Amino acid sequence: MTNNELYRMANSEISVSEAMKTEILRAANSQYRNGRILLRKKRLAALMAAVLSLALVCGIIWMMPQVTQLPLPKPSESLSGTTLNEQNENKVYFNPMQRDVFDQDKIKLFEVAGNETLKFDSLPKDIQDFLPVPPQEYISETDGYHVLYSTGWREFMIDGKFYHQKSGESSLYIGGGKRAAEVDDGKNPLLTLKPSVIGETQTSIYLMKDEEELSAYRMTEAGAVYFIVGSHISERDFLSAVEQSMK
Amino acid sequence: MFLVSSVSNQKPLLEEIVEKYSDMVLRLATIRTKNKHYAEDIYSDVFLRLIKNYDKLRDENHVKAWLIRVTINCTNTYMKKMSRDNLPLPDNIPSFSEPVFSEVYQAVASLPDKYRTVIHMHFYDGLAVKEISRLLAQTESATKMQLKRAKEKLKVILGDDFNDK
Repeated sequence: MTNNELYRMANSEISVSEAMKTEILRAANSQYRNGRILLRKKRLAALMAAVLSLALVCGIIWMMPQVTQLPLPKPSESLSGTTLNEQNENKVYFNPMQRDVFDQDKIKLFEVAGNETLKFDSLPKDIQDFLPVPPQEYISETDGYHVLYSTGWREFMIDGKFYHQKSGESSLYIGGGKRAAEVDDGKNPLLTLKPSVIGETQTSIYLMKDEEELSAYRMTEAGAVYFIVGSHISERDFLSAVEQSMK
Repeated sequence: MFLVSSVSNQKPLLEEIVEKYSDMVLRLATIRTKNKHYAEDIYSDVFLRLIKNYDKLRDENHVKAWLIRVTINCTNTYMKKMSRDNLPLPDNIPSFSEPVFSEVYQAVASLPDKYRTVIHMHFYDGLAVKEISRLLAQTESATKMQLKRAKEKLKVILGDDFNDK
């Protein structure tokens, strides 16, 4: 008998007992059952995840129209007035009325008597500097009302109505009879301030050169013009400043 | 019972695998650990792994190779753990009915681990050098060299009784 055969014979005496084999098969069956249970749990979890995902997608789809129906900022209307409320909704980014910060030091108040003829050179220096383009003409006592002619204004507000100039050189007239306020060199009347309106109410006019600078004018019943030059001017601050000046 | 045999790929049932390869696993583990009790632990570990990985096995050849490879890995892990924990590795060679069986077996068991593994795989499992090399992840020349040196050592141990056949 060769060593090889002897070694084989020796190994043949080493064998696994039937009890150990049975134990392995029992473990296999247990594992199989556990596997089935685990598989069921996995399937249930997958089903739950699918349902939740579907619910999430449905929720997003349901929310989408509501999101898209939210009011979007609209560009200011060219050569047409919108109410202050509309302006608040549509031009939030450029609404001086909503500026919470008000730098009191930048407010300058300048009063002009109703019957006084104003010249640009006679305006205070800070007002001259503020105006983007020096007023070409200021006519006092034209039809009994003041006319301010200037160019370069982008946006302005008259009595709570917001206006936006077209582009290029534009002008704003204040006063001047039936055509008190116009743009585009008067070719396209924007707003007519009737004498009775000016005579009976106080008219607030805000001129905005850009987002940071703002000039406010106010015509009083007596025809006085108040200039307030500064930034972040609110309606309340403006009125407060005028009231202070009239004391 | 457990797991239906896949006739198409001729993968044996688990019961068939247990019946056919249990001894092979235990004997390989025994010659590597030189301890029957350790070998039985390894045997259980190997077949529990088989249960977990049964679906990944393809056919019978794959099953056999997989079992040998996993048995070697489990043995290595077991022996490293024993060594790390400073546990003794007592020689507990099983008793044999014939003294000559014990003599040959003890001679193989006395070889260094790498030699007795290749001797066992070659003499007992009847694996070719190429197959042993693949299972042990080494070159064929290394396997041949190990076999050659193992035989030389056995010749020294068994003396005139050694038969190379």
